[in-house]
Amino acid sequence: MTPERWQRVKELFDGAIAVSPEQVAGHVSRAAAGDDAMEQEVLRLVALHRTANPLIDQVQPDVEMLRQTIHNRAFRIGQTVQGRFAVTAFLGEGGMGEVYEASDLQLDESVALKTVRVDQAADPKARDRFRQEIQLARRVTHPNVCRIHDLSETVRLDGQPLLFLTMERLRGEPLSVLLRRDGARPAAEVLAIARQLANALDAAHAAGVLHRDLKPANVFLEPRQSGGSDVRAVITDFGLSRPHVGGHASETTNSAMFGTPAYMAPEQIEEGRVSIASDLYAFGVVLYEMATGGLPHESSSPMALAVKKARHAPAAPSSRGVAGLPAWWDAVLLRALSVQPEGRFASAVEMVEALEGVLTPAVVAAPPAPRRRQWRLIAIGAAMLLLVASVAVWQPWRGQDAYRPQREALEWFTKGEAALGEDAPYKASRLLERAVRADALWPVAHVRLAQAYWEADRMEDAREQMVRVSTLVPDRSRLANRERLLIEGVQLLLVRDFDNAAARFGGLQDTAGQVDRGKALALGNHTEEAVALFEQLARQAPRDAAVWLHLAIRQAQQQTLTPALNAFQKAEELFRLDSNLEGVTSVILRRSRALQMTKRLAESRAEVEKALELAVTTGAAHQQAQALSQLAALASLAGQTAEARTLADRVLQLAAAERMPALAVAALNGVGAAFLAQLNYVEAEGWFRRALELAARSGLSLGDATARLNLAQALVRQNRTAEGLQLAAAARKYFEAGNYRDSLVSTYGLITDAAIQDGRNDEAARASEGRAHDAGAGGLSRRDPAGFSVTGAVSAGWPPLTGPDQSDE
Amino acid sequence: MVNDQTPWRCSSPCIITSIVEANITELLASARQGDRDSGRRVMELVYSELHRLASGYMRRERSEHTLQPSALINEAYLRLIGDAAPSFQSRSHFYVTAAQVMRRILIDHALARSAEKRGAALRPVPFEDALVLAQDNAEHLLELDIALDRLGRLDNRQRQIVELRFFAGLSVEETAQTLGISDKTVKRDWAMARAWLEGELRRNP
Repeated sequence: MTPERWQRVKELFDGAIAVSPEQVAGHVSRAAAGDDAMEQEVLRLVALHRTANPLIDQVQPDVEMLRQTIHNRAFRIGQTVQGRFAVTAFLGEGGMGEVYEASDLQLDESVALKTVRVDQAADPKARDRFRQEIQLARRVTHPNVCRIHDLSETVRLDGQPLLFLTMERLRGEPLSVLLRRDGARPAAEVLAIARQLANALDAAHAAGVLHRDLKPANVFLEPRQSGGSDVRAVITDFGLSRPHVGGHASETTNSAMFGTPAYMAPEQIEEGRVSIASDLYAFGVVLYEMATGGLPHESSSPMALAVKKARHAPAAPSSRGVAGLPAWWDAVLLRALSVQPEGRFASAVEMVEALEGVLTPAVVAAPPAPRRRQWRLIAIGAAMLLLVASVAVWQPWRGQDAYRPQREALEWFTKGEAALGEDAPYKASRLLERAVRADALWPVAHVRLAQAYWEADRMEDAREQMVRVSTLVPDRSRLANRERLLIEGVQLLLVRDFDNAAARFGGLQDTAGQVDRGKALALGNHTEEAVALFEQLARQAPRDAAVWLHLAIRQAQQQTLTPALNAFQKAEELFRLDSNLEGVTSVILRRSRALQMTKRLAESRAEVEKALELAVTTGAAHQQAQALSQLAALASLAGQTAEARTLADRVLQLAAAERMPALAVAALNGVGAAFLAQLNYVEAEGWFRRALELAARSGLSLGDATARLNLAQALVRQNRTAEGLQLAAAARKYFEAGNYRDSLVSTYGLITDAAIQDGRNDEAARASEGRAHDAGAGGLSRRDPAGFSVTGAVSAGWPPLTGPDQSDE
Repeated sequence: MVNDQTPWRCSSPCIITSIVEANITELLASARQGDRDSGRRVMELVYSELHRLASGYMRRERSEHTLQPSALINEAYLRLIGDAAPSFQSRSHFYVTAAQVMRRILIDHALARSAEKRGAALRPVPFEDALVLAQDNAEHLLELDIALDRLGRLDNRQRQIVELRFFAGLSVEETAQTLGISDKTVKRDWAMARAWLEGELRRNP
C-alpha cells in the first residue's frame, strides 16, 4: 500500500459508510471501477467499521492503566538522590527494573539510574552477591558494553531498601524495538551489528563474565556522535551476569529464575546451566531474529518451549520467507543453535566470521555428530508423565456388567476413539472397522464406528451400525451405566438432537466423554458453553491434544482468532510430541480454515500447503483430499478459475480412488461457494451442478440437499427464480426432516428473497433477504459452515453458504 | 562504589520546577524548526511532567478523582507553558507531543506487563497455570503501537489523530482545533483509522 493509494481507499471508505448497508457493495464496486484489490480493502474496512465488539475498545487506555503505571515508582522527577543525582526524567521500565535519567551533580554529566527489583534488594545475602557481581561486571570495559558506574543503596518512601545502578546514559533505541517495528534486517546490517556484539561478548567472556540474559531488549543502538548512518551497538545488563568458573555457573545460582526463555539455551532452561556456550546460544537467537524477523522456536508456554528446544532443530532461516540471506547462513545459524553446547561455535567472533563467509565450510558445518543425550529427554518425559497421571484416562468397560472385548479389538478401538477426538473421522472409521472385525460382539465398538461414519457424512453406514447395536443389546437396562450413556448419546447425535446428546455424554466422567459433550454442545449452537467446557478440560488435561484442538475449533467459530491460534499451537505441539503427524495435519487444516474465515488468505494458503505436504508424507488420503479441496476453494476465492479446476479434479480423482464421495461433493460445493462469494454466479452454478450430480449418483442425501440449496442461490441471483425456488423447496424438506438448523435458516432466507425478487426490483429483494435472514437466525449463533463469508457488507446481508464443512453439521 | 548507608528520606517533595518552565516554549519553537534534540527534550519534559502530575493525583485522591488523560495533558500544559502565550503552532505541537508521550507511557506499561508475565512464567508455577496464558490487553496495546507506526508511514496526520483521540483522550473538536483541520476531516480519518487498526489487531494475535 502506498500513501497515494491509501488516500484513495480513504475516499472510497468515506463514501461507503455514508450509504445504507444494502448499497455498500454496489457503491464500492462502482467507485473502485474494476480495481478489485481496492474494492476488497474498502469492503474489509467497512465491515470492520461495523464490527459489533471491536477489540480496539477493549484496549482503550484508561485511568487504571495510568494508575498502575505510575503507582509505586522508585524515584520522582525532580528528586535528588543521595545529594548527588538529580532525577530529570523517567525513561522506561524493563524486566530488571525502572530506568531514570539523572544529572550527576558531582561530575556534571548525564547518567542513567536503574533500579533493581525488590526481590533481589530485600534479601541481604542476595544483595551482597549482586554487589560482587556488579564488581565483576565493571571489569568489562568495552565500547560495546554499557558502562556501569556504581551500585548504590537508598530507602524507598515506604521504608523498603532500594538498590540502584548508575550507568552510562544510552540514547538510542533497543534492538527489540527496531525488530518489532521494522522486522528482519538486511544482511549487511545484521553483520555490522553482529560484529560489534561479538567483540563485546568475547571481551566479557575473556574477563570471566557471562551475560546470561542476552536478548534484543538488552542491545541498544546508539547513533554515532559524528552522525552518519552506522550505529554503535551496546550490550546492557551485564549486571545480571555471574563469574564463570570452568565454564560452569557457581552453585549459588538460582539461575532458572533469570533470563528469557525464548533466548535461553536448552541446558539453561532445563538445568540452569550457564556457560559461554549458553551465552553464545542466546547470541545465535539474536542473530537469527535479526536475519529473519522471527524467533527460531515459538511457543506459548515455557515448558513446551523447553521441549522444543531440546528436541527440534529450528526451522532453517531461509525457510522463513526472508529474501536476500546468504545461502550459507542456514548452516551457520543452525549450528549456533545446536542443542548440544559442544556443537556450537567456540566464540562469538568465530560465529560472525562464519556469517561473513570468512571461514571454511568445514568450520561452518556442524562438528562431529554429538552423542544424543537421552537422559535429558527422559527427564522431560518423566515430568510429562507426572502431569499425564493427573488426567482422567479412559478405562474401558471395567465393572461387573461391562463387556470384555478381545485384546486386538481393544487396541484398534483405543486408536479409533483417539482419532475421533482428533477430528479425523475417516481415520477413525478405518480403525474402528478393524476393531469391529476383531470382535463383532462388542457393542461399544459399533457405537463408536457409527459415530465415525456419521462424522464422515456416511449416514447410511452409521444407521446400519446402530442397528447392529440394538440387536446386540436388546435390553439396555442391563448395560453398565457408561455403555448406556454412550449408546444413547450417539443415537441422539444421529437424529441431530444435540442438546440431549450433550446431556448423555455429560454423564461420562472421562475426558473423551467430555470432548464428545463439547462437540454436541457446539453442534447444538451452544458455542459459548462448548468453549467454556473445552477451556475447563484444557486446564484439567493440559496434555490432551484433542482437547486443545476442539477448543481451538470452537474459538475460531466464535471469531476469537487469537486464543484459537494459541490453542491450535498447543494442539500441534502435543501431537508433535506424540509424533502423531495426522493429528498435526488435522490441526493445520483446521487452522487454515480459521485463518480463511478471518480473511487471512495468504496465511491460510501457506497452512494448507503445509498440510498437503504432511498428508502426502503420512499417506492420509482423506487429509490430502481435504487440503486439496481447501486449496481449490482458496484459488476460486482468488478468482483463479483454472487453478481451482485442476485442484478440484485432483480431489475428485482421490475421492474416487479412495471411495470418499462425500469429500468430493463437499469439495465441489466449497469451490462453488467460493465463486458465489466472488459474485461469479455462472461459474458457481457449474460447480454446484457437478456436486449435485455426484451426490445423487453416490446416494449422499446431505450433500445432495446442500448442493440443491447452493445451486438455488446461484440461480436466484441470476434471476432464474422459479428454477431456484424448486430446488430450495426440496432442500428445505430434507433440512427440516433432519433438523439442520443453520442450513434451514439459509433456505428460508433464500426463499423469502426469491419470492420478493419475483415481483420487485433487485435492491428491495436484497434488503428483505437480509431481514429474513436475521429474523431466521435469531437465537442461533451466526455460522458460516463454508468459511467463505464474503467480505464485509455483502456477507452481512447474505445467508451463509454451505460448503465443505458439512460433515460437521 | 558509593555505599551510603544513611537512610535517605525525602521529607518534603523536593521538586525542581524552574528548569523546566524557563525554556519549553523555546524548545517547542526550535523543535518545530526540525531540531531533533529539542524535540526529544520536549518529549522528555512532557513525559516527566505527566508522570509527576499523575503521581500527584495518586497521592492526593485515590478514588474520588477521575484521572482522564486529557485532563492530565491540559494541566501539564498549564504548568509547563502557563501564560507564556505561545503561538498556535507551539500549542498544537505541545498537544501532539503530549499525545505521543501518553502513548509512550502506556506502551511502557504494556511492555513492563508483558515482561513481568514472561518473567513470572519462569518461576516454578504449576504447569497448568503456566499454560493458561491469559489474553492480555497489554499484548493488544503493543500490537496497536506497532500498527500505529505503520499507519504513520501511510498517513502521518491520521496517526496524529489516533494519538490525540485514543491516547490523549481529546474530543473530535479538540483534535480538530489542535491540528487546525475541520471536525469532519477528523471524524472521517478517525473512523477509517479505527477500522484499519481493528483489522490489524485481529490479524496479529
